[in-house]
Amino acid sequence: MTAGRNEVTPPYKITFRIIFIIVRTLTRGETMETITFTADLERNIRMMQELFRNDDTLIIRRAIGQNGLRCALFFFDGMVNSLAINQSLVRPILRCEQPRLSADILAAAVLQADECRVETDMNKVFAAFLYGDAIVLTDGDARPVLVNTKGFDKRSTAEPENERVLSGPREGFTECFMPNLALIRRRVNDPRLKFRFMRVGSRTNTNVCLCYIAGLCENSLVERLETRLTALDIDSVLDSNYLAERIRDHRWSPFPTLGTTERPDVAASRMLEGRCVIVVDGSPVALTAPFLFQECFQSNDDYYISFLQANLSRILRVIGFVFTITFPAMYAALMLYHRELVPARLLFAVSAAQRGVPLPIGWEILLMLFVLEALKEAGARTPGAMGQTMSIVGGLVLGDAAVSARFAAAPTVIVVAIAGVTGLMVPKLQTAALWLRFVLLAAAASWGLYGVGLALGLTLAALCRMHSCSVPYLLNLVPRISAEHEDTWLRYPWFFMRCDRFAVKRPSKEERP
Amino acid sequence: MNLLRFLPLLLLLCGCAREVSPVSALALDCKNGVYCLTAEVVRQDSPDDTAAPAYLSATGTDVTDALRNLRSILPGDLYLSHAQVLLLSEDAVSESILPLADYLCRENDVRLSLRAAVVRDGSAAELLENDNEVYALSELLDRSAQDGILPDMPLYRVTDVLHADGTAILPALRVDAFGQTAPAGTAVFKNERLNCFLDGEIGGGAYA
Amino acid sequence: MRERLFPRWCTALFALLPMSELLYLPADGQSVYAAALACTVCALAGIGAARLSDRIRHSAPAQWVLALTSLFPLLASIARMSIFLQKTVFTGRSCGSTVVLLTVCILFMASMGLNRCAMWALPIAWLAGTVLLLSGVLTFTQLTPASFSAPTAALLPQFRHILYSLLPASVVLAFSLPETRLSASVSRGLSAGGALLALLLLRTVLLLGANTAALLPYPAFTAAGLAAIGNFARHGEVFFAVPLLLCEVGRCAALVCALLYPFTRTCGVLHLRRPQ
Repeated sequence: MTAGRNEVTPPYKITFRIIFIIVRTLTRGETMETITFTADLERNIRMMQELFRNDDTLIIRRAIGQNGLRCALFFFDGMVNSLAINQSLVRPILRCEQPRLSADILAAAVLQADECRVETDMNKVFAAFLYGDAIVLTDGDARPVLVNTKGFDKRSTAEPENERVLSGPREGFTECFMPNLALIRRRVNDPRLKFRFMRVGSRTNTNVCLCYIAGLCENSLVERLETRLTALDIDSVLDSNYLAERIRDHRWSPFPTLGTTERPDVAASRMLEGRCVIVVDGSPVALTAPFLFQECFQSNDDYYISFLQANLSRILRVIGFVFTITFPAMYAALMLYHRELVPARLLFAVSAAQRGVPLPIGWEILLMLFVLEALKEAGARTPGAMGQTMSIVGGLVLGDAAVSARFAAAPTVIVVAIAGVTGLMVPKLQTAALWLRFVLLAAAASWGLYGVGLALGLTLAALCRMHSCSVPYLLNLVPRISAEHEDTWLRYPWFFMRCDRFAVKRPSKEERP
Repeated sequence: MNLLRFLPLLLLLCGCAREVSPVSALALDCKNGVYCLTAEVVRQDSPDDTAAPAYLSATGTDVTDALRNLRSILPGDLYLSHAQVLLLSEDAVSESILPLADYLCRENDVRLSLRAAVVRDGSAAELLENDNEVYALSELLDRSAQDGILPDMPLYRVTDVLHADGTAILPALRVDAFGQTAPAGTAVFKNERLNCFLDGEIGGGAYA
Repeated sequence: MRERLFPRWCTALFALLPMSELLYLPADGQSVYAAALACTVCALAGIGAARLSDRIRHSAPAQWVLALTSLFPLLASIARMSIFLQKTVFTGRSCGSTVVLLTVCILFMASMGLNRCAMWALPIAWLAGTVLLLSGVLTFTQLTPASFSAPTAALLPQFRHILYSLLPASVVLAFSLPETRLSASVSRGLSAGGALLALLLLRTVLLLGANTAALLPYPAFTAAGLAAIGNFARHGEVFFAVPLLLCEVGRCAALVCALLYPFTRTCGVLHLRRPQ
């Protein structure tokens, strides 16, 4: 597809964008409150105490060497590895025989840490300090030494609940930033794998990393995402969704235009397909861009099981999606406008079941869909096994009671149940399915199957308009690219597939390894 | 405000549900120039019950009039989409059946695959009420057509051949000696009227 | 994304034009030949118009003439769709309500621009083609070859009738194409759609017979009701009509794009609000 590569941003837009970023940066003020250190150690200590007044997690450790070298260590309790503090920082200082040392010598020859540097940019110093690094100050030198002592507790890399697989890797991202990047790096041992860091959120100052493979990923895509991320003017980023809703294309569409994954293998595979991955500190969910409609029907399992089974599952997912959005609408349309389509005996039975139900069919289905969503929501919010029990018992008991009380007809309950079950087959499209179900139901209740057809046609039109990072959302459906047909709606067997043949962007000859 | 935009959608959900009286078969008799239309209306009160027929009749000066009168006595809308059989008595087909065929073809609700059959030796309504089972007649005609006992002539084909040269054949039925509905040969139409039956019996002097 | 009209999309868009005629055409022995002939003429005219599209694009008066010409097939399409819906399913509703519904749908689609309308046309053309062929296959055993007739001079009035409704839309859209090299796609689309149209008309005649078909206001639609899968979807004309209606909505949307071209001067997405 030539899309994206051929897009040319007009120079005036670039100029306006640069001016906007500069003005915003200048007017936004400091990202956090900082101080400037002096050569007087005691004064520095007082300044730090003042800055972090009422914060009891700040620990200030004074250390005096054998010949009077005076240093102070600043770190936060719980954020650092105590062993590293004791063995790499405190012990070398206590054993130091020099009476006075500059920050450079202290970092280079005394402190025994893997990452230890003199940093003069106070914003960087405090960002790292607040993130678990230790500051070491020595008397007579205003420059702080920044030491990597991060050691906070983190969750294990267990398999994500939402992306379970039958076979294949079971590691998942955690809330820790660097280990997440390490999980990706472990899978792509290529020097062209790039991690670009940036800070987002004026108050949380959250680490965000843009990951991509140079040569596979288009430069324009990286630049576009970087521009969107740096242009964000927000206070806090506590999860990747804070960014996703801001940087995605078509923000009002229920169809996802940014992918999400909690699995490093998926993130790596997306990058190998020429996509960018955005990892956000504190969130186990990474974002992938661009995201295409076909990806909604792809599952991690597809690549780890037989291609025959995988393709059958994909077809089932597509059918499931069609079913979940159209089934209630079709039922309403058939019973309201097109009874002639229903086999006679079935029609008589359904009509008999419908007799005595007080609501019109459209409202009845709407009510049952609402009950279904309520049960799902309650099941999701209720802890553990109790949630499952509640969903099952609620579904069975409520459904049966509703039919017995003539509150709803049995066929309606069956239709809504089928729509609910098939809706679970495509989790990435649950929001879209929910909205489409209601819209199609309204169309069916007012205009029958013609309404359903027109509504589906308009949905297709809306999808045709959409793009994700300048890549057409329906890529591989329309426009169809025959050369890249190896992993789209169906997955070819691995022995037919070459990695670069199913990339979002095929690398040019110069870029190919 | 955004939520208000969806209010019209909710209003649309009301739809236009209407109670219908589904008809599975029709019988047309004619006596002294008055047409009598009998409809086999299907009733089923609960999903567990079996569908049972109820018979309602109305008269009129022509088929359209009889249908209009039938509509007025039915509890719901007359629903002909599931009607599969139209029984015609010998008297009813003594005049041209082309207007009737044309009318049924043009009627939106009526299936073009509707099967018409001529009833011998009795009224169409009696034969319709002879079987107390919904769609028994339709199944009999289907089976007989498959076995080659009776001609396979759905409405659209009858209309076409009648328009072409006024001749057509239709299956014939009668109530046999055991009181059961049975195939009774083929009714032959000439000049759009019943001419004879193909088992050799001439359909009375009036048709000759 | 660079806005571009791919040849395959263009083929699909032009294939919709003859297909959207199917619902409204009378069916007799001659209509098959008339449809095939009219589509051939339209394809030839379309090729010529597409080759001249460059000149039209650079001439303001020509654009206005084109825009005004597109009004005729556009209004005719909306009117006949509304009447069709009112006569077949929504008998109790006013024509105005269906006109409003269709107009809203058409305008929404037209806001995508001609390129995206053509993009949309590709899956719709496949869907419609599949449904039409499936309908044909399901009724194949019921066909009576005796109803087949050879072409006679009687096909000329029908040929004129089809030409009146198909030619203006074909020529207007061909003139509105952004690239002259799409002329081959125009002819391919019209030929493919025309072939399907002729086949389905032939099916209607062979199935219903010319006399029964003459009685019906929408013979192809009614004939489709005889296709059924077992006991399901008998009287299933609506499954046949919905894709055809979508074809016509797509055709109308493309015509609206041509109508609006003197104002928008783009075949790309028409932004109704300022892009963010």
